[in-house]
Amino acid sequence: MASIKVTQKRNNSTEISFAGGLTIYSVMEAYQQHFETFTFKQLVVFKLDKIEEIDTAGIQLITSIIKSLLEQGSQYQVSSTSEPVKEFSELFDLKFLMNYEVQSSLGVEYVS
Amino acid sequence: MSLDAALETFYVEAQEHLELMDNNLLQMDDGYINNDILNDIFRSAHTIKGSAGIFGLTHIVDFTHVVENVLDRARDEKIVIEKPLIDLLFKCRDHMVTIVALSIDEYKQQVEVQKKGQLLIEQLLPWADKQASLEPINENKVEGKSSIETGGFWHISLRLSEDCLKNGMDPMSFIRFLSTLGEIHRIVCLTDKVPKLVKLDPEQLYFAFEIALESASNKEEIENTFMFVQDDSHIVILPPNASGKDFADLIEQLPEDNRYLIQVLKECGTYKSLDEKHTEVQDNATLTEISTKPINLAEKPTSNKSIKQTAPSKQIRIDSDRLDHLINLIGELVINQQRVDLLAGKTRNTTLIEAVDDFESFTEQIRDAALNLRMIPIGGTFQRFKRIVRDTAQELGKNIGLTIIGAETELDRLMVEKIADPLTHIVRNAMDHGIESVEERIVSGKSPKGELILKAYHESGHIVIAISDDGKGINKEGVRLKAIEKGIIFQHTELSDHELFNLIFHPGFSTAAQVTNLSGRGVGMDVVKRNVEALQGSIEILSEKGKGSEFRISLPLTLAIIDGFHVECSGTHFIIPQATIIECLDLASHVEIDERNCINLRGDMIPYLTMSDVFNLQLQNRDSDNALVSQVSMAKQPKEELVIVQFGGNLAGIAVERLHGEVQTVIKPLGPIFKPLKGIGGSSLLGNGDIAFILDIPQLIELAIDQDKRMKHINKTQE
Amino acid sequence: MSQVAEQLSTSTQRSQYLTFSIGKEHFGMELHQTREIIEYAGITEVPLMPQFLSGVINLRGEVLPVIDLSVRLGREPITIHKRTCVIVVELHGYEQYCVLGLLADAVNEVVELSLSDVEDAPAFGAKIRAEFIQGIAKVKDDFVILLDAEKTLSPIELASLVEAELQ
Repeated sequence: MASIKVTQKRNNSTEISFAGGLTIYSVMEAYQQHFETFTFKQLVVFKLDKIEEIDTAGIQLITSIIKSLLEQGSQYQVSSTSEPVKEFSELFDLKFLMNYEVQSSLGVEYVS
Repeated sequence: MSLDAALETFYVEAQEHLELMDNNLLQMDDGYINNDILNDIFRSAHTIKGSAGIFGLTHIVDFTHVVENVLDRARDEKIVIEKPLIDLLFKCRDHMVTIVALSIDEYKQQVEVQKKGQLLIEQLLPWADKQASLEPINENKVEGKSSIETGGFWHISLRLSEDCLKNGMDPMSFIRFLSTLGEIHRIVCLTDKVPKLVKLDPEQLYFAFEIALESASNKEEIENTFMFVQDDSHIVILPPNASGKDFADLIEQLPEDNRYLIQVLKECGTYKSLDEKHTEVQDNATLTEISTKPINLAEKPTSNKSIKQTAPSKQIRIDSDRLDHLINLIGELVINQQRVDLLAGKTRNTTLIEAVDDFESFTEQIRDAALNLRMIPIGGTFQRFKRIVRDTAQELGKNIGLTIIGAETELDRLMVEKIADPLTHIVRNAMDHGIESVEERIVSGKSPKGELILKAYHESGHIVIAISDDGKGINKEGVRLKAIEKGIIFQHTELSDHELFNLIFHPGFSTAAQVTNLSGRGVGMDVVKRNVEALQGSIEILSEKGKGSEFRISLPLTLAIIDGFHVECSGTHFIIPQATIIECLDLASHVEIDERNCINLRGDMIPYLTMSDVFNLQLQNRDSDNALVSQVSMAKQPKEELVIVQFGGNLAGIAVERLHGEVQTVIKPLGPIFKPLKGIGGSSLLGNGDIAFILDIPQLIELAIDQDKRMKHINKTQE
Repeated sequence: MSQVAEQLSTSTQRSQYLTFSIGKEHFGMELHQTREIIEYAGITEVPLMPQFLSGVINLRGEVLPVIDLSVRLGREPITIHKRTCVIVVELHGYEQYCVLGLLADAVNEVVELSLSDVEDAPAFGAKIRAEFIQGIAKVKDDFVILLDAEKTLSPIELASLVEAELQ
């Protein structure tokens, strides 16, 4: 099961750290417990180094979080990542998870 | 991602295809050789090979490849389908059944199996395309090289079903698999469908993919990667030499914005616009002959659609344990519903009683619907006999045809599984001992071809499966002599035909003078009878000398729940299966005919038994208090009620003391200790938690007849 | 060495037994073969059954046969009284899994016995078929007959007794 810690920090940032397995078996619970309603500070920092297992459902959840925070005008940063996450990001070529800089877009998005 | 689930699907589908192959081969064996059948067989082999490839089951791929090659050539009319080839294909199909059941590791250990496979391949060689069969793996490489030479990439566009994550399919496993077919040059994961958190369904798939793949594989192999995806997935595979028009079509089909798509496709590096189409493609087409194959595929009108035909239609597979669990729960629901019914009745509150009545009718519907889930047509089992009959007839040197009637008759899944063995035994027995040799048949003026009929139908709440032949019939005298010889009956014992035929089911009885390797061996019909009885069924033999025999197996509709009629005798509760009941009468109002326990029912003489006599029931004193009360009422000679039941076309009465009415009951088996007890087929819990015994009517009547005989015997010896 | 002695010496050296009494006699049965003990609350007699088969009970929706162990061991039928209880026994014999109830006057305790506590079954004197007995142990001045449940309650043998009764 996934264990998720969300810390609202004083320096106007939110830290979200995931640990364990973030997969189809745990995303629903994770979503309902933490993300159904959510407010972000100016910067959202993802700590992904404790993720032991991840699948498409898990990646989609993170993608959705990023979309929501971008919508609110926040920025995000992937501060650390684990081997499974890295492997997955490479497989799907998800650049937004492979870059440790602070970002303000998802990369390949439709710009109308 | 559960690869296991996908693998399980592979096994189930492979089995279905093998079954299908068997049927189609049988049809060819009967002389129906046409393109449709050949195509079907080919497709079965092809699908098995393809899906085995996904899971890396090389032992299956290697063998099936050769079979597929032969079939392909037959399809192209390069070889002619003849009897020896059909026989060989049967053997190959059987070998496939064997190897599909084995994992690679298991296969490697089974040298015998490997040898057999090699032998079959050698036998197939004369029919196979030499090059392909000698170097099965090279075929793809040759083809592949040419597609690499074109310098282009395959373009794969994936829009998988929204539900595929929930169903244990993760696109990552497809993409991983694709990367084993070649190199993923570029992949674009389209994230635009992923909604914001508020609108997110975390278990739904939003990602879409556009992939450029550099691969030596052919289109079919790439397609096979997606064999198990859902129906509503949309997958397009464009070959390296696809034209600009193909891409234009693709863009048209995809839900995303066209300009965005072009941007994505350009990023993939596979995109060709409409203007830059032909020159390049035509060059490639003339390059080698083999490389035209993917082009042809791409231009087929169907190939641009998703590969739906491989996915099963409206059906879903459910683990049978889960289904059994559901049925058990419904069984409990039925019991509880009855308790509520009982309690509601006591309140005399009409509104409540009406509500409970509605509840009851829904419970019944739920029960029926649930039981229906478990019902499957017997046809599948019957089909298997075509093959058994064919092989057995060949072995025996007889000419025997099989006719199947009522294949659509539905039966509880458990029952279908368990009835197959007894059926096989009876069918083999009929072919071995029943149907005569061709010469004998001609001498007795019959058609040289013997006929075996497998038939299933409903009869008074039961399913009847009849196996009949037009053979020589049972030799009554032979059975009699054998039974005397075996000490089963005495020299002078008089037996009705029915009783005589029943001797065949006696343990250790076997009439065949010569024990063949098919039936016989001493174990036989008694086991059949026991198996049928274990399913709460009964078996009956009809036979006429020179005309043939019929074995009739009667089975309950389901093993789990029955509709019953609750009666009581001396404080013991019984359930009579509703399906056997014709009517209920007041015994006192009918005149008993002499001392033979018969009544006159509208002119018919109907024998009846008294349950307390047959079961030797006296009021139990154990349960202290009310025993006295009951004994008092006992003294008043309780009014006797008569339940008229039917069994195998006969009517009989059962005298009981109280009628309680209809109930739905869940059958609780009584366990092995009570097995010798005849007349009681199981137990069941009443609404108040009391235990009632479910009567097995045919057995009960047999028991009463036995007791009657014994009584007469005692009376005689006393005289 | 008795069977129990063998078992004890080869395995953990100690085994737990549930002891109970019927009349004045004390019996023991390996604890892992017993599932639970329930109050006697009436029994439904099954027609035509021999005396050792008292009937069936409804244990939370499961219909279980109940054996009068006293009769099975060749003694007088047990007398039902307020404290009569049913020991639910679970057998995982090689034949099949089987759950049944045993009538007992009282359940005493769970004892842990070691090799030295157990003696061989006497060749005679216990008036019980020797194969039913694993051994005899002395617990607080009382002799406890340790029963071999697999043999005493073998479904196949019980069924053959039922069959004999029905003949």
